[in-house]
Amino acid sequence: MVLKMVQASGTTTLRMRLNGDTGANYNTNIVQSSGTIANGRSSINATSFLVDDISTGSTVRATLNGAINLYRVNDTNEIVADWTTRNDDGVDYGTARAGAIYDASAAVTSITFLLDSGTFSAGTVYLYGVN
Amino acid sequence: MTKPIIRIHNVDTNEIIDREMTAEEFAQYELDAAAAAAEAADIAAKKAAKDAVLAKLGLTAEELAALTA
Repeated sequence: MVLKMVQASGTTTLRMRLNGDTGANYNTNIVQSSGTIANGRSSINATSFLVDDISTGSTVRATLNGAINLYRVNDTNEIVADWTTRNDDGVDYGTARAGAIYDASAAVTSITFLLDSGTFSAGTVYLYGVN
Repeated sequence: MTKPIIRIHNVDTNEIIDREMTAEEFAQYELDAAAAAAEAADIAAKKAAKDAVLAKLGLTAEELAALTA
């Protein structure tokens, strides 16, 4: 998937859920930069993947952009994902690189993007590699 | 009160539906929001504890960053 110029109505966190599964089956580890500072972020046994922070912004550079890969989506056990995103967290600009795993019990047939608060205000998600 | 709108894009048919959340979806939405708020509160508490330690040491966040760079 490619996320292009995605914006929210306020500064918040973008998450992703597969198959509408709300179980504690999502594990995400992120290495990220914010301005000149690098740090890490983890979301373990969560009910969705933690993708990245997102905010509103009037300029192109203030949008969330990136690419998310899901591998072997027809597997019915652990499904591997990774992504690289670039964002504006409302304070600084940064990039995030994530490795993630979903403890699946069925092949992936749906993907849901969620915000911790507010609504999506702009942007497109392009989906590739689906028959 | 109206519920939030969700968009469903069926990539098999390319059909796009925008509709209000169902009661079940809205209940999950509220659970997600509560979990996110709890996570944010936990992060804020940890940051406050870190700031308190820095204050005890007489360091600013920038000085700590310089030390750990």
